[in-house]
Amino acid sequence: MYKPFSDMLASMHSLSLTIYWCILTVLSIAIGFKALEEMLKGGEK
Amino acid sequence: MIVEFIAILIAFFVGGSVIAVYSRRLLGAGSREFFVGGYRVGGFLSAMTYAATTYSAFMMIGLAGLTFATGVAALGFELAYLASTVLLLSTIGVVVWRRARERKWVSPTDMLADLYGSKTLGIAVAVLYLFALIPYTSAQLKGIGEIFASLGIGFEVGIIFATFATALWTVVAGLWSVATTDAYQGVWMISGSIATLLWLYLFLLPSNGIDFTKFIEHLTKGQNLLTFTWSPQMFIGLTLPWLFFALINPQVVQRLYIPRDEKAFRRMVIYFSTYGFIYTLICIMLGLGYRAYLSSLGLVQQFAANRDAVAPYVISKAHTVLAAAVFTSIIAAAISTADSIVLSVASSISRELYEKTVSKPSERKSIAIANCVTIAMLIMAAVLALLRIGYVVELSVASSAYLLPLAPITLAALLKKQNKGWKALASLLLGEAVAAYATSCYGPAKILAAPLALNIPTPAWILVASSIPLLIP
Repeated sequence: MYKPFSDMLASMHSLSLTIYWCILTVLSIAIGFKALEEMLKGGEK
Repeated sequence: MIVEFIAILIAFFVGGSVIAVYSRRLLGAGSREFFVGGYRVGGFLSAMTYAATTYSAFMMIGLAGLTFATGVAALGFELAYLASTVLLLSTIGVVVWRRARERKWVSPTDMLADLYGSKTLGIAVAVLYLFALIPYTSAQLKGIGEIFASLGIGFEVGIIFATFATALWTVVAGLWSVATTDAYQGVWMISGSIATLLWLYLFLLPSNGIDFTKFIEHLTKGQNLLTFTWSPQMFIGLTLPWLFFALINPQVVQRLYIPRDEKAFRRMVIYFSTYGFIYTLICIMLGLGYRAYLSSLGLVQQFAANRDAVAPYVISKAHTVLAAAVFTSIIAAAISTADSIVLSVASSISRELYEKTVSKPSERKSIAIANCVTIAMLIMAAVLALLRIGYVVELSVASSAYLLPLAPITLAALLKKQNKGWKALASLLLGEAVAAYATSCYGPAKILAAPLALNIPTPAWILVASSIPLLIP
């Protein structure tokens, strides 16, 4: 049977949902940190 | 195995007790010191107590079991919780932290009672905490009982040990003993999870001939666990209460009061999010690893009806010392959550039913009442645990559903959109009525995922119902 991709690559591709969840979370946390700085600065003013 | 486990457990208990007793040196006079550490807790300690409080035995047992059974959808569920918590802490959390110092909030109910200027609301919320969080506490004790049972020591012995340790570490120095032992237990939790991960992926799976390709094969044969396997109702139903967890659960609300300054608050958020992200990924990886391992042995079906038993079963295959240490780390996760819950609920009951109702309250008496509530609550939770009702995961999340009506009330008040006490009470009543109706229809274990009407799960209806009174002009 012809396989366009190696088994390893196909396996890694099936982990894409996991990677997507993680990227989304890291982005959310980064936005959170930015918001935190703004909120704390707001208090200092 | 039993000998190693008991030896490590005794070492863990003695270490925690020494820390708890030593923390009395930090404790000043008065109920504010006992319940919120006098608003002078450092950033690292605040972060560790927040992490150890919010992450319970559910992570290593319930979440790993959920991942074993349903795959990476569980990661989306848990990361959604983490992302929303960090966003809430970074925005609303700052507002709560500032107001707590200005208005001298001590218990979680102080916040709502003060924002709405309603004593009745404070009492109603304190009673709700008591009702909703006994099952949550019970789930923690049950988790410890299951570990003892899996080692052949006895479920009941585990419940008694957990109840005693939780009570002791709470009453010794209040928030100070809870926070310092939480930090100690937080180290146990992350170390135990990392040790399990290394053992599972570097030893157990390779020694069973499972390489990366075979690992993926085991996870994708039959039901593909690397895709989104949950129904939308299940995902929304389980996730929604957890999105608001930071605002509605008293044990974490109270932690927003404690950082000593802005620097400490910033550190709390940064350290907690780092801890949470790492711990979540580890627990999910453990669940997937357990699945691959048990699938290779053809044992998946054996655990289909009892997924909470998966983690204890696989961990018991490790070297006895490692297994004993990991079981102890799971016990640490359960106790660190339970003691924070009972302290926050006890402080609410003591503030609302004693301090605010008598003309000249004695702070010493207030602490004594809180300690009595702590012990009574733990006894009730222990009795419930001994009855062995439901899964750890459903019990924990069901408690959040009952607390969910607090989300619109809290947000409306903090964002200055609402301050009428009767509207908040009406909101609470409507939300609880929906939760009670759903419980009567589906039972407590299934109220979250079951669609109540229009194919929409109960938590969404709870939010809708509890928002309606607040929208009335």
